[in-house]
Amino acid sequence: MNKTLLILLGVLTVLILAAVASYNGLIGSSQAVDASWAQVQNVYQRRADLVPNLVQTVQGAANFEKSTIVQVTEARASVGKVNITQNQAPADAAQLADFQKAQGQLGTALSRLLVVAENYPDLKASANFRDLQAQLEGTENRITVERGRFNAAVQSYNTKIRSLPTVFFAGFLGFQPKPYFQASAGSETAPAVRFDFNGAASPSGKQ
Amino acid sequence: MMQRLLCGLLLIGVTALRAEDPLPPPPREYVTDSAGVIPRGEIVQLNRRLNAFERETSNQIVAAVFPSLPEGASLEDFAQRLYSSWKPGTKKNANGVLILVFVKERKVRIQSGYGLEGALPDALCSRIIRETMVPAFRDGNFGSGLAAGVQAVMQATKSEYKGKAGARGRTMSLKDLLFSPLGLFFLVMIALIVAGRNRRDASSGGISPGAAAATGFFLGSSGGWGAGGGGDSGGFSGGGGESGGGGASGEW
Repeated sequence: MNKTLLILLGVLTVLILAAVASYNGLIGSSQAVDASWAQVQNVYQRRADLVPNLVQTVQGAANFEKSTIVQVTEARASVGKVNITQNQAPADAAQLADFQKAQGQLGTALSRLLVVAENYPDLKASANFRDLQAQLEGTENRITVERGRFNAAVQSYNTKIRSLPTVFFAGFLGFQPKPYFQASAGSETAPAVRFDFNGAASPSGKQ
Repeated sequence: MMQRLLCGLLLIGVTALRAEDPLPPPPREYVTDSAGVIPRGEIVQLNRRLNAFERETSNQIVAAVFPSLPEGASLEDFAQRLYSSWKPGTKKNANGVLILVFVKERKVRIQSGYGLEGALPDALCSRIIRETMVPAFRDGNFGSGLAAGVQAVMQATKSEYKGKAGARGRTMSLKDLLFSPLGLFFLVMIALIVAGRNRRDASSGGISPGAAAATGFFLGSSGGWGAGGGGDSGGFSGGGGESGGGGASGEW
């Protein structure tokens, strides 16, 4: 009787200790995910901040194709409208997908602008444009790097949540799996698909 | 039979290496040229300059010339992975720069660590590549092109951080110093002098000239000791710096 009570107490203590240990570990990796998310937002913001300067420089070029500029400006505006929590990794996969979609559109519009710029030798030769181009390329590379780091942090967090013995406590302690960035190939082709849809289903497409 | 077995083992080894996509190991020197396009003398000179630069500023600039990019690798991705493996720059300041040249692809990249993104912005990296490195590379002058690029990077980053004279001395803490043979020797000497002073003259209250001189010598020696400790001066070893993908690429 007394002995079973002691054993029960012992088991309970071990469980509580394990729970505390997993909690601490989870807090650590959850914060690592948030930190890398902050970096992701930083580099995307860096790109968005380049847009006004880029647009201004490009507009200075003689009769630069208007539609490309409009696309970039619109994509830049819609990036600002995406509702996303600051400095805390999104918990919701749909939220992250929205963010990624808007950023992907801006990325596509910007790369299209750079392609179009190839047809304007004067613009391409200007020091200002070359600097902007280098900044843009550097920022795109930073985005790739920080997204990769974010995904790695999320992966380590998700693995921790799902492995023993943490899996018993994670849900109870309020730790949910976090979503990843999807492969960038998808985001690059997505806008092209949308153009096709615009013709077929205009009401939903216009929104 | 034995030979066939060996061949099989070798093959397995090779395919395993392939699968892992091995990176070149961290270099022991600041400048390495596995493509063999820069005279040894110029490499030695650049190495010396970069070693002095690290002592002065704690910035680690590493340059490597390769014959070609690994098959299927992209320049930016390869540079990033190499940076994460070689880790130039200190862990605290991430003040490293990696300069990579790929002769066959005619590509060059300057990759900056987090801590030098301000002093060495992407646009500047791009300019250094376009204006100082590429023209020389076009003429096949890899040595002078690389030296000019390194010089420009040093110029841009020289006042960002302060180094302590003595590249290896920096890593030696006071504790290490106290327990080194030289430190112990001075400790004993100071103890003897102080003990002697106390015995001779307890009332004066001032520090005897002998003790002051010994202390001064002891403190002053730390710098010299540090530099002396770096017997392998001229070598590079990564300080743990990270890069966020900043920098620029170019081709010629």
